[in-house]
Formats: sequence, structure tokens, C-alpha cells
Amino acid sequence: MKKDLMEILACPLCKGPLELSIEEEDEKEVIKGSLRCNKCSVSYPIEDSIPNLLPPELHS
Amino acid sequence: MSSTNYRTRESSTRGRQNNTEWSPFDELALEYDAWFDKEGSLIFFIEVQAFRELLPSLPKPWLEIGVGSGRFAQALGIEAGVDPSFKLLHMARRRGINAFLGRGEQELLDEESFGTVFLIVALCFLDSPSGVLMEAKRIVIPSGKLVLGLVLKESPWGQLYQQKKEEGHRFYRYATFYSCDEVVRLIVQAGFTTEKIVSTLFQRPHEVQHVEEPKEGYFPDAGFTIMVAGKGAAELER
Repeated sequence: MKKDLMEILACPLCKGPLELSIEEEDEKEVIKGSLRCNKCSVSYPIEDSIPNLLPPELHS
Repeated sequence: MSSTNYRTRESSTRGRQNNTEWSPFDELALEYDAWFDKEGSLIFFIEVQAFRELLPSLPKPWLEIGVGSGRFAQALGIEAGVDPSFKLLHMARRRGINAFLGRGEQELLDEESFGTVFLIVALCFLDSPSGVLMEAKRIVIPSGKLVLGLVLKESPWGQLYQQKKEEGHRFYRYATFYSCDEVVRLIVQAGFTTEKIVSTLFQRPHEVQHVEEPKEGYFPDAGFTIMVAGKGAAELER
């Protein structure tokens, strides 16, 4: 996921801002990490550069 | 895939097994994607050609809801896509698409963050077409556009797929095909107004043999129909 996409992504639950945590990245994008909504206390994983924004109850 | 007329697009939100087995399309992702290179290649080419003249007038940036494996997005230059299929999104990402795993009706993108939202052979696979169209309205700019690529219920192709659905076809059993009037009603209910319709694929199922030029306007015998709608634009008279 390219970092500049953070500008348009919002928490699917409250539409609030998401905080990016990076575990692995290359020169182009974030490969592994998470997007966290502190207001909702929910984290959305980033795996293989794809942010998983499905409803939290569907995260494995 | 298994026959020359077989085609489907990803965007269903039905089914849930685990994180990587999300949609009914996941288990056949490779086979699905191969259709575009094999028996579906000419159909795909004809459909992509029908979009060509429309593209310069569509405000950027572009998002495709139900982007699947990114075939149309790559061909048309759509930068980003949302889809509930992890396996198909992997393919989309390899095609250079910024991919988000999610459902089209989820509010996961900021208001007015895109110029144009595409749904290409996706509306028929949605659980909540009105919810997705309303979300599309929310995320496009005030002068933004909605572009739908459709297999309409009344077309020969729509009738074929409807028959497959009734026979319990593994993909089409999830589909709901809409008529032109029904789609226009959904568009209007979501707050868009139709501006332009382009039709192509006048060759019948099993008989696609040559490239076609698209025609402007609605034709019930067209196998593929493109509708362009805008926020606050004048209603198309057809």
C-alpha cells in the first residue's frame, strides 16, 4: 500500500483517521503492517501490500 | 473459462470462510482471470474499446468498485480498486492497481476523494446495489462521475446468464441481473443522473467472431452497456 493513500483512507466504522504502523516496507510501499483507529480500538491488517478493511469481525 | 460465452466479474460480498477465502470467486480466481486471455479475450477487447472514447472526459482520480483481478482497471488506467476477494486483489496489485480489501458499501474512503467511480460487470453481484451506489456518490467530487459496465437483463447475454443462474451455475447463482430501467432507477435513487449510454457486443453468445464499434445510446440487443452518470447533471433523454 502506498503511503500517500493514507490521505483518503478512513476508519470504516467511524470515518475517523487511521494510524499507520509499518512492519515491512520497500522503497515504493508498505508491505506488512496495520491501520489502527484509536477511537474504535480496531486494527486493520496490511498483508502483501493490501490493506484489509473488511468489517473487523471478518478478520481472522 | 469452460465455454466461449462464460464470463463473470468479481464483487460479491457473499460467503465467508476465512481471510483468504472470502468470496465464491476466490476458489476459481486463476481460472476466472485466465478467461480474459483465452475464450473471453475478444469480448474483453470489444468491451474495453467501448470505454475508450468516454475516458478523456472522466475526472481523475479513478476508483473501481469490484475491481477483481484488475483486468479492466489495467486496460482503462484505473488507479485504485476495492474488492472483497483477497486472491483476485493480489492479481490486481500485480497489475499495478492500488488495491483495498473491502466491500463496496463500506465507508472506507474519504468524502469526495475520487473523480470517477467505475463498477464494471459488478452491480449484478452486489448484495446491496443501492448501498454501493450511494457510497459511490459520497466519495466522488461534486463534478464527479459514475460509470457502470452492465450486462442488462433484457439482452441476449443477460438472458443466457439468467438461464445459467436458474440452473444453479456456480457464479451466476449469486447474480441479479437488472434491466436498463431498473439500473437508471437505482442510479437516480442514489443521487446521480444519467448522462450518456454506450452499447456494444451486438454479436450473440457463442457467435462472437470480430471486433465491433460501439454505438451511442441504449440498445436492448447489446450484450454490454455502459452508463455514465454524474452528480447534478441534466437527465439523459433516451
